[in-house]
Amino acid sequence: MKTKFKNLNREISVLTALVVMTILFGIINPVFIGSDNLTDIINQSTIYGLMGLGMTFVIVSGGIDLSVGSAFALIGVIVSKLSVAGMPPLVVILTGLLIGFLLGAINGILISNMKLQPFIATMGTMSVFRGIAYVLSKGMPILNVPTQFRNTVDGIIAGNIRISIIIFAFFAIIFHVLLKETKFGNYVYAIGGNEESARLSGVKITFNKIMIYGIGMMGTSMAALVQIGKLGTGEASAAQGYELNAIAAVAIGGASMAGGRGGVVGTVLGAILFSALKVGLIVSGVETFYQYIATGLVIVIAAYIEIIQAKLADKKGMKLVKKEKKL
Amino acid sequence: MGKQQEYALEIMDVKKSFYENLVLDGVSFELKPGEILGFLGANGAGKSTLMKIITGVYKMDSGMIKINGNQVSGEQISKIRENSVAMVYQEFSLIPSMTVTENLFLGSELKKHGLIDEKRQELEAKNMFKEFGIDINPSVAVEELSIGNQQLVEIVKALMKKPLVLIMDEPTASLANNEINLLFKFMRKLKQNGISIILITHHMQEVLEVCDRVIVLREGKVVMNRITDELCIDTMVEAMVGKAILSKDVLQKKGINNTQRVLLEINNLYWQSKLNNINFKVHYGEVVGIVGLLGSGRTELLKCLYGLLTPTKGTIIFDNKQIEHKLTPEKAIKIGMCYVPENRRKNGIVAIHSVENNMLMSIWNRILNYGIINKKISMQKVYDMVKNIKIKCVNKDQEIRNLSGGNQQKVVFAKGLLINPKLMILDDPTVGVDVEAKESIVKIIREFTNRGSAVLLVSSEFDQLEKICDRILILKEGSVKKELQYGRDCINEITISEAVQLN
Repeated sequence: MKTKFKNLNREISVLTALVVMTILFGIINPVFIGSDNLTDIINQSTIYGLMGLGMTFVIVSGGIDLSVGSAFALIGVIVSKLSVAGMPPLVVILTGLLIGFLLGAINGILISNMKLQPFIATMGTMSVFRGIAYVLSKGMPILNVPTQFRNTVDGIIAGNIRISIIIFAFFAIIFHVLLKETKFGNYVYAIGGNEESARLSGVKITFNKIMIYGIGMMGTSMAALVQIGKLGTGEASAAQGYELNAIAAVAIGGASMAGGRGGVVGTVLGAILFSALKVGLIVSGVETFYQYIATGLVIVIAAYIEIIQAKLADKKGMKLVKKEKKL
Repeated sequence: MGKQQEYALEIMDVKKSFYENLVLDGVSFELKPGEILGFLGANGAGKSTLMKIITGVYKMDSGMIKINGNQVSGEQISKIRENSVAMVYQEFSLIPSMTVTENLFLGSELKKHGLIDEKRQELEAKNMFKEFGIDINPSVAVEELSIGNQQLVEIVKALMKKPLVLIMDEPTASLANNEINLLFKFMRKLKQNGISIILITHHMQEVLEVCDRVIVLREGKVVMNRITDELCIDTMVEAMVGKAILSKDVLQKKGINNTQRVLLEINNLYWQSKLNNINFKVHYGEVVGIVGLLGSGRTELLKCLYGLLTPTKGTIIFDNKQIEHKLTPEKAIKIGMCYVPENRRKNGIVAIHSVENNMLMSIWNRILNYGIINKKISMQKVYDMVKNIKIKCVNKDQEIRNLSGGNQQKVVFAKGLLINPKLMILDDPTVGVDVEAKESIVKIIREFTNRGSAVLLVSSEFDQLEKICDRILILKEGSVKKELQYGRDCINEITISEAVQLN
């Protein structure tokens, strides 16, 4: 029981921060804790949240993916074209996810087969994907995505629940189970924790890395699909800088940039906290310029808390060692 | 340095506890100028804590430390220590891509007009090396040096601040025999220059060879403090463990006979220029040791077998099947091999992960239930292993880095055993673990082969080889030069070491 609590330490502190923040913003402006506003916060967290889910896999494996923002735009352009051309929504979604997997797999191949540094490899594809998006759309936005598609990914059911939230929850559960309960998930942690040990233990590094980046990018695909549903337009210039927000959600959620640590629950909470902060600052009447500063500070503080917690855990570990000696 | 005192270092009744656990229970000893003191103790005996107190990393709870006759306490504490005690750690602190000189002066660069005075640094480095009789070119990058020379540079770096006392933490762990001799020569030179040395090690033989006096620490107390001349290995081991160990019955050896089935057969194996025509067989139930100096191809041979290197020529027949395709670790595991790598921290464990995750890393695919990991089976497997080979841990979720070295290595063994292998490939598995853990590892190996499986073992610790090997292959310049067989040849530390030195 105690160990379970220890493992959830980070998630609990993000949750606490979220609650404290909600109360503070609620005091400043009661509108913030209105049910409409709270739903809105969750709503706004779906895009970065979905991207963050995939980024969690990549970061836990010790990598980074800077190309997700561009891939987002490219997938958006393709799926809106397909949808406008009359393809049925479900087929569009599956195609979008498949394209995402392939784009991610390209990153994976560059990183594992060709041994490029993840940072450089995905910085390269970041530019390439963006370029392809411009080429395909000829720089023009793709307008009038059919309502049928838009309703499928972002319609409202059961009173006032957005489908995009259900999709986010569904993806979060799938990604969580994949990371925590399967062999693949354990390999992701092992590769991030010590790639060489994993290799010597019989883990197929190349194959698994391709899967990590491929599956990771499927989160971004879904985010792009949801965005098209929300806006009804696909654009090559979309999602500039989104990769940093996705990384921020993962970092706030407590994943270690060095790899080997992190989890889906943390990322989901991180994404919600990120969006709550943005909405809260707007509701409190803070100017846009200051919002950048505030979000940046939150990321830095979150990273620092991670360090402090790691130190405390070490101390605890030492304590356990001494106990072990006594046994 | 001040005037010469009777003692370079005096430790008086030092006590230290972490939380409620007493780690050092009134430790006292003295170190004379120019004395080499061997410091022994099982993992967890308090050696590193004591050293950290001497170097000022930890504060002691009570007691007194005098350096060169001066009591160190209060404010100047760190300054006095900084100037008179230097520590050489097990892991190298050198930056591989920088030159030897740059490494030596890192952090205390000599400057001229605000820029680094490279010429003067180089000259001083050269003088330093000359003074100690070391033949190293200070302008080459550290990564181009042999491990032995890197170790010397590491020590010279510690000597830069002209300490009275030099503490060395297992300096021979990664050295070959000739490099160890070089190091000892260097240590004697330091001794002549009046520098006192504390040598922390697990190797009794080294202690006897180079130390003037030996202190054994057990459970936070000094249990032995004697002149080396009065000592033999057994007395030291007994002092360390506190009881007579070595139950001879588990170490039962079997002389092999020709009727035993062959598990592994290697024919005409070549790898680049490192392995030249290697031929040998391993039978079921056999422990085959491989010895050779660094560069003899011992590690390369193991790597070829486990699919980490691809042989340029030759055949490997495993369990009556010739290995046709390119081998990978994953395939090697599938056909029934496991591998315990040389460097536990770097290649054996995932330090920040739990005992469970480390132990089961190779067999996740065997405990799946519709693609989901079966928690019941995984728990049972870990529990059984912890019990069988007596791994000391709080629970399965404890991070492995918080275990002692010996227990970490046991987890690595458990990971291999869980594969249910026919052949265990071990690369120096007893390096850096304490005497007790060594004994249990020997026991694990024996029990494993008693069940009919085989072990191929590279070791630089000849006493371990003597204890467990049925057969020993001597490797030199990439080929098997000699074979010692139990029951036919006399196998002991001396015969092994003679065979290795053989031209």
